[in-house]
Order: sequence, then structure tokens, then C-alpha cells
Amino acid sequence: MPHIGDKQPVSQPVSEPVPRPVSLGTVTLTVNGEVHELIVEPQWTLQYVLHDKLGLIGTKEFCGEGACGACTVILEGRPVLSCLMLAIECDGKNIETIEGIARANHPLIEAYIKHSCMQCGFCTPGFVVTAKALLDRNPDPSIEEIKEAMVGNLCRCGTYPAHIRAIEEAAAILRGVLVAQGGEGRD
Amino acid sequence: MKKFKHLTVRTVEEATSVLAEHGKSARVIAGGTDLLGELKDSILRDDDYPEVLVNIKEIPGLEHITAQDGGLRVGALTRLEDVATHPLVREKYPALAEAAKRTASPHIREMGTVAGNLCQNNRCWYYWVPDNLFDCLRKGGRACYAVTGDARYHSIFGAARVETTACSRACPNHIDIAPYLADIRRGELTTAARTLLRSNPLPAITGRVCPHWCEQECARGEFDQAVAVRAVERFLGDHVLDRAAEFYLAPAAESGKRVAVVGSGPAGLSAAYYLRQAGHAVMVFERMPEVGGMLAYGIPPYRLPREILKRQVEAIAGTGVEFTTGVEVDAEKFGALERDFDAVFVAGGASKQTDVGVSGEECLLSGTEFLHQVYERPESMAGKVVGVIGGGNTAIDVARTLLRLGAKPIIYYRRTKDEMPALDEEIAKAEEEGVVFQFLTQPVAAGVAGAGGAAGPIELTCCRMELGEPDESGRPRPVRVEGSEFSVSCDVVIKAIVERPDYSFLPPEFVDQRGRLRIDPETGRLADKVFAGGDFVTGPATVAEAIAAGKQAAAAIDGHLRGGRAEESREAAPVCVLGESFSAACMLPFERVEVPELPVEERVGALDREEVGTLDTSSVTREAERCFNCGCVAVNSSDLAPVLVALGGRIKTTEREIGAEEFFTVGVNTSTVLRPGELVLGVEIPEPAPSTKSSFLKFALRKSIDFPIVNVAAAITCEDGAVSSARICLNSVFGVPLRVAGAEQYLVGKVIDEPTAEAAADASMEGTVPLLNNRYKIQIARTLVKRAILACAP
Ligand SMILES: Cc1cc2nc3c(=O)[nH]c(=O)nc-3n(C[C@H](O)[C@H](O)[C@H](O)COP(=O)(O)OP(=O)(O)OC[C@H]3O[C@@H](n4cnc5c(N)ncnc54)[C@H](O)[C@@H]3O)c2cc1C
Ligand code: SF4
Ligand code: SF4
Ligand code: FES
Ligand code: FES
Repeated sequence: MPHIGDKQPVSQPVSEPVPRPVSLGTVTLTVNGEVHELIVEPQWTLQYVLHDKLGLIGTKEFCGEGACGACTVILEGRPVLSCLMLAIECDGKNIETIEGIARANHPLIEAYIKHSCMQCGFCTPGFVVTAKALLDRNPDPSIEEIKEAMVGNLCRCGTYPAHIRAIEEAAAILRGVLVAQGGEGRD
Repeated sequence: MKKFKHLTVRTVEEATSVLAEHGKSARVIAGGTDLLGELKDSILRDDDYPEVLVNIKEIPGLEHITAQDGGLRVGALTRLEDVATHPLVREKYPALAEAAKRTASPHIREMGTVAGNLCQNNRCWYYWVPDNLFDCLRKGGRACYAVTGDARYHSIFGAARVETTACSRACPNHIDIAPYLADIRRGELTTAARTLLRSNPLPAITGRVCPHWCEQECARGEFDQAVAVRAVERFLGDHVLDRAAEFYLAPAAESGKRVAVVGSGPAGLSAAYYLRQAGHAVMVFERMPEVGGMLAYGIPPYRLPREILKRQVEAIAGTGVEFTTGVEVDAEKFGALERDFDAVFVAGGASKQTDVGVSGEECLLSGTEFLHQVYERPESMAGKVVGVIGGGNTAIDVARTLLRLGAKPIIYYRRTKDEMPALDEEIAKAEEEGVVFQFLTQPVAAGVAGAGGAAGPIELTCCRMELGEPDESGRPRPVRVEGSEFSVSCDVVIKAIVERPDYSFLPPEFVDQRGRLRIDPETGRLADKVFAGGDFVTGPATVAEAIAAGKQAAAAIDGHLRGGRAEESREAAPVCVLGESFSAACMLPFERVEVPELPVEERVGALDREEVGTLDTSSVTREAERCFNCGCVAVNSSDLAPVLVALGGRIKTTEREIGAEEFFTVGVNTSTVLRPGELVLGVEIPEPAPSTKSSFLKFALRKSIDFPIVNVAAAITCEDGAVSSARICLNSVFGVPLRVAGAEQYLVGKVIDEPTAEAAADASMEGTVPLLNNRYKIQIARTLVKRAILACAP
């Protein structure tokens, strides 16, 4: 995983006049590879915009205060909570939601179904998105690393053990050491 | 979330200028995990709601982890997850890596920044509700619910001082009540008395006659009964009068300036005392033969014995204030004072009679005039029926005085008991003693009945009233009931209604066309060297308000005499300090002290028989135990904070560099010492000595997401196997991260092993003040300290 300490700070051109620092209400979000130009109110959260304005209803809000992980999306490679993120601050950013992961036919999807990782299913998108962010950075996580990455996602129905099996399996498929079974993809 | 304006800044300069422009209405947003929670839950007071959020995330150069001069620099915007996983941090600063890794959940670590973590708000659950439902002190409320309620996650080391307590906020003099009660609890009466005298030079008097707003607002009132502040104040007041030579001292140095004070009522006495303390020569001029104004001629002796007043005046005279009585200051004399003195303070009170609007006004006696007469020559009025017109404190004083002279007083008041301006306590006493009240009754005419001439009984015609729409004062306007007139026969009728100040001796330019003083309300200044205050300015008020006015005027005059600048006497901003604690007994129901009081029959027997007694030392100490010492028992829950303190870190801001310990010395509504508009740019940690080991441990309910119940960081250096220095910092146990000095000192020179770690852990728990249900945290803290020490063994 790259560490930001390795990056050189970008230096500011000194002579350029400082523009007025007003965030305009117009933002450009790249969501699952699609570019959306939207007008947002400053107090709208990213979760609200994805769910209510773009119709990406896989991103759920449950606690609304950072305690459950149901609203997880991937922002510039980091799994973050869209309920505690202002949409206006995501201008020009890349966002991945559960819909994008499903459309890409990520092996996590089939693994989750196969291992019955859900009962009511409300928490599932948050888990899958978090797991996807983990596998992007760490293709071969240990059980301990899986647990570490997933502790911010809460499941009211208690499906925890199944997630570990599903994630391990998806990781193996991605690394090519296991062949996906019955993966037809879903468009 | 409420609406706000959102600005994204791209340089630090831009951030500071935008923040300066918007002042208190702007807040910085970094990761937003803390701030957006606050905004979503609407926990802030309306006036604290940010109108502008300034997004600093796009400022380049603030997100970095770099080695520098052997030490470590971490930028303000660095994400916690990056701190937790950075190889350099993990290798050389394992306590920091561990603290970051144990913070919140992975997602929050991906969003949350280092500066945001250090600046996070407290998580007290009473604070964290909308509309301040729990009346939390920290949000300007009256009480800290945590002290008597469920406080399982709160402080185990006592409370932090807040800006003002409800009691001192309610007091016109803003007397610092909680600290002197704390002095009494420690048995330090002298310190207590000195604290009190700083804000009130006449405690023996206010301790007897003050309507005690402090008690009405006391946080304890809601729980069981208010702390008997007035009774304690009276005790201290008597204590200082008994030792006047010890407490009322002449100033150390003379300023050479002279101030004349016109009027010797409470405002005049208070100004005289403070001006004298400031080193000025003070002369007080009083028209009446006795010093004291309303204290001598208005307040009845059964409430304020004249002996006490005499001793109080003597005490003030003992500091060098000179009193001249029997001098009427008229226009000519006033001119002379203005000429001869460096400043003049006019505190002439308000005793000019006004008309009550009754035809035949001349048959009525004025209330204050009646009281003057009685105090000078009390004569029996046995059996006389006396009508008293009015509903204020004078009416009650007159009626209760009449009772003591054997008369039968009847109070006529045009509204009902609820609207009476007199104090409830006084009304209740008057009722108890047998004063008759005629509510909703307005006298309209008075005349001498029959042929008895001026000495005959007075026929008083009254009519009944009913309550109408509210008037400007907010009270319902009394409306006459047509045809309800009736008459009563009284031996005497006394009007006890509002009196006004007499401005006739002032130069005409001091008064406007409508007869009002042309006064600067801030400073009480009338002219270059003339100031005024007390009832003379406000109309009839109370002793405490007059004392406050005198004090304020003294400060303004002192500033004037010292060359136009008011003395900067503002006390240091309140901060979290240890030792601001309370007695464990205060958290449980605790009966208020019984103030000794004469039974009604004995009370009404004589005019100068004081109705209430002074408490003894043991009851006062007991009562002081009841005070909550209102402060905040919320804790700082940051996981990074204790590590920075233990590792001797420094916080770099846009304005300065602050040691980590000092950084968290909170103010009232913030968790840091940051000034408005000041930004954290990063933290710096010095290079640890090769033989220093550091550790971090956290106890939380769930491993992930939960805030610490207790956490601890230790950095211990050993030489030749023995400890040469130790820094150990607990957090989540007090308002600020707390270094446990006891354990640190104990460890020096010791070899780290199980018994020494155990003993150090015991030493670290000295001074705990557990709340009702958080004693368990002591056990956890103790164990964490022990383990953190053991983890640093070479
Ligand atoms: C569910 C949950 C669990 C949590 N658990 C823990 C925990 O276990 N341990 C722990 O320590 N914390 C915990 N936190 C708090 C979390 O760590 C902090 O909220 C986070 O670190 C704050 O960083 P931020 O950048 O998101 O801050 P923000 O919310 O952006 O800011 C927090 C405050 O700091 C101010 N601020 C931010 N940056 C600066 C700056 N550069 N200069 C001056 N002021 C600044 C902001 O104005 C604001 O007042 C938890 C939070 C949540 C929501
Ligand atoms: S409990 Fe003590 S500090 Fe609190 S309001 Fe009452 S007297 Fe004041
Ligand atoms: S502990 Fe502090 S924040 Fe909590 S209710 Fe008490 S005063 Fe308010
Ligand atoms: S809904 Fe965002 S963390 Fe629970
Ligand atoms: S499956 Fe129901 S909450 Fe997780």
C-alpha cells in the first residue's frame, strides 16, 4: 500500500491570484465510471445525493453518524462513510458504489450469495463495498486482516462468520487460484 | 442538517483570512466525522451553529508523515489510517501507531484527520442532545446532570471549571460563590472570606437582606433544595466583622487622588471601599445623621440590626474612608466637591416621594418617611388600623414594622399576590405574622372623616379591580370594576409606592428635558470627573445591585484617575484545572441546613429583634458540602491526545507552537486552547532516546468504533535497567488528558517489574473523585497504567 509520506507536497504557484474560495453548488462526480454533473446544497451528504438524487439505492443510511458502515462507498480508493461526507466536497472525485461493483461482476457478489452472508440484507452493500476496498489494496488478506478491515461494519442479524469465508473465497478467485462457480454476471 | 454556506479553501492564508472574516460563525471542516455528527444531531446552541463551513481538505502540503531532525512531523490533514500503517511510525513511535489504529473504525480512520482527532468535541451524552434538554452547563445551562445522574463514562478526577456557575450568573455582583464554598470545605475560612470580600465588601449585610437570586438559580434546587448561599455568606460576613482589623485593611500605597462620594447607602459604601482599596483618599458625604442610607432608614432593624450596620461602617472607616454626616449636598456644595476632588461619585439613592394618584393625597403618609420616623423614635401604635398602599418591598417592610408597633396593618394592592413585586419570602412572612391583604383593590380617595380635624380617622375610598391585558411590564393591567366603590376607616394611611431620585442639586446639563440623567450606561459617567450609580440611576432596586453599581463605578473612576484607562481586571479565562472538585456527599440527596429563625410570636414582639440567626461553623461546613461546585465532568476522548502528551509532542498552528499538554487546557466550549480562526497545521514529536520505550493501551466496550472508556500512553526511558524518566498520560478520565505525576515520580530510579508497576499504578490513582456509577473506571485506569508501564520494560 502506498504511503502518503512518500508523496511530495504539491507546491502552490505564488504569483497566481487567489480565486474567491466559494464552493459553487455545481459538482462533478464520477460514480462507477459515469460522470454526473449536479447542483447540490451544501448540507447534502454524499449518501443523500447517491441514494435520493442518483437513485443508487444500494448505499443505505442507517445510523447516520458513522457507527455502522451501511453507507460505505469507495472514494478515491478509500472506504468511507457517505453519511458523514458532504457531497459538495466530492467535486471531481471518483466514487464506487455497490452498483458499480455488482455491474463489474466482482467475485465478492457470487461469494456473498454462495455463503449466505445476509439475512435481512440491509447491511450487505456496506460490507461488500468495504471488502472490495480491502481486496483492491490487499489481494491476499489473512483472516486477521479481514477482521480488522471489516470491524466498522455492523450486522444486526449477526452474519459475521459468513463474511470471512466469502471474502477469502473472492480473494482466491481474484488471484486466480480458484475458479468462480456459476458466475453468470448480472447486467 | 441546517443550511450553511460552504467554502473550499486552497491555501492556509486563504483559510485564515476566510476564518477571520467570518469570526465565530465559521467552523473548519476536515474529515467531518466529528463536526457533521454535531450538525446532524443538532446539539449546538442556536448561536453556536456555524453559518459557514470552511473546507481545508484541498490545501496541499498538510497531508504528510515525514522524518525531520530525527523527530516526526505529521501534517494536520493526515488520515488516521495512514498514521496507523506508516512504517516509520510503526517502527519508531509504536504508541502513536497503536493509538491511531485503535481509533474508531477503519472507515472513520480513512476519513478522520489527525488535527480533527485532537480538536474533537466532548462526547458527554447530556451535552449530545438537541435543545439542551439536560440544561448542560457547558452549553450555557444551569446544571450538570452527570453529577447526580448516570455518568458511567465521565470524569473520575473531578470537574472542570466552567465560565460561570448559575449562582454567580444570577447574582448582580457575580460573586464567585463556588470557590469560597470550596475553601470552606477545606476548612480555610480566611481564604473563603477573602474570596468573598473581593466581590462583596458588605457580606454581613447582603447575607441578611439579599433576595438571594443565587439560590433561586442554584443547580441544586432542581435536585433537592438550593444551597443556602445567603446563610453561608452571612456567616462569613459576621466572621469578617468579628475580625475587621484583619480583613478590612488600608491600601498598601496611596495614589494621592481624592474622591468624594455623595450618599452612604450600599452603592456609596461599596464604591468607597473599592476606591480606597485602589489607594485613593475617599470622603463620603451623608445628609442624614446616620451612615447607611436605605440600610439605616429603609430596611427594618428586625432584618438588619443597626449594630451590624454600625460595625460594617466602622470596618470600612477602618480602611481610611472618611464619613461626614448631616451634610446636605445642594447645587452649591456639589460645585465645591467638583472643584476640590479629583472625582465625584453620586449615589444619592431614590427617596423623593411620588404621588399615588389618590384625591386627598395630603392625608397620606409616605412609607419611607414613616420608616425614618419610627427608626428614630419608635412609638407604640397599639390597636391602630393602618392602611398601606402598595405591593413592593417597602409596603411589606412598613406593614411588618406596624405589626411590631402593635398596629393592625392592611395592605391594599391593585393586582393579585402573583404580581406583587415584593419578594415571595417577605410576603409569606407578612402573611404568617398576620398582615391583612386586600388584593385587586385600589384606593381612589382619602379624606379626614367627621369633625376630628387633621387628627381624625381617615376615610379611604377604594374600588375593586380585575386583571386585564398585559401592560408594558408584562403584568396584567388592573382594570377598575364599575360601581365597586366602598370605603374603609383607617387611623393612618401610608403610601408605600415607588420613590424617585432627586436630581435637583445636579448642574442642569446633567439632566435631559424629560428629567432623565445623561449618563453613559457602560461607565456610569455623567461628566469628566462625575460618576453616578445605584438607586440614584436605576430607581429603587436592591442592596446587591447597588453594591454592584458601586463596584463598577469604582473601577471606572479608578481608570479615570489612572489616566483614562479602565484597569484591566479581567480574570484569566476559565480552564480545566484539577482540584476543582466536590464532596462525594453532594451527589446524593442532602437536607439543606435549617437556618435558625424566631417563632412568629417572638418575632412580632419587638422592632429590633432579629428574626433570623447566624449558622455555626459546623452547619456552614456541612452546607458547603452540598454545593456541586458546578463544573463539567465530561472527558476528552481522543485516542491520539495522550500519546502526544506522553511523547512530548508539540502542536504547530497558524499562530504558534503549543506543547501538547497545554494544547488541551480547554476553555468552556472548546476542547483546545485554539483561538478563533487559529488552525492546526501539524504535530511534531521529538526523537525518542534509544532506550525509550512507548506504549498505548485502550479499554473500550467494543474493540471497534467505540470511544475509549479509559486509554493510556506511556513513554519510559531506562538507563542501566532502572527508569530515568517516565511520562504517563491517561485520557478519558478527566476534562483534559491527565499526566499521572504520582506514578511518574515513583518510577524514577526503579526497575520496572510487576510490584513497581503495581505501586506506580496505585500512585496514579491519587485524587480520584468517582461519580455515582463510574468507580469501575478507577479499576480499569489503574490496570491500564500498570500494563502500559510493564510494556515499556527494557
Ligand atoms: C462513530 C465514531 C466513533 C469514534 N471513535 C473514536 C475513538 O474511538 N477514538 C477517538 O479518538 N476518536 C473517535 N472518534 C472521533 C474521530 O476520531 C474524530 O471524529 C476524527 O478523528 C475527527 O477528525 P475529522 O478530520 O473527521 O474532524 P472534523 O469533524 O472535520 O473536525 C473535528 C473538529 O476539529 C476541528 N478541526 C479540524 N481540523 C482542524 C484544524 N486543522 N485546525 C483546527 N481545527 C480543526 C473542526 O472544526 C471540528 O471542530 C469517533 C467518531 C465517530 C463518528
Ligand atoms: S450547586 Fe454550588 S456552584 Fe452550583 S449553582 Fe448551587 S451554589 Fe452555585
Ligand atoms: S459533563 Fe459537561 S458536557 Fe456533560 S452535562 Fe455536565 S456540563 Fe454538560
Ligand atoms: S449510516 Fe453511515 S455509518 Fe451508519
Ligand atoms: S443481514 Fe440484517 S443487518 Fe446484516
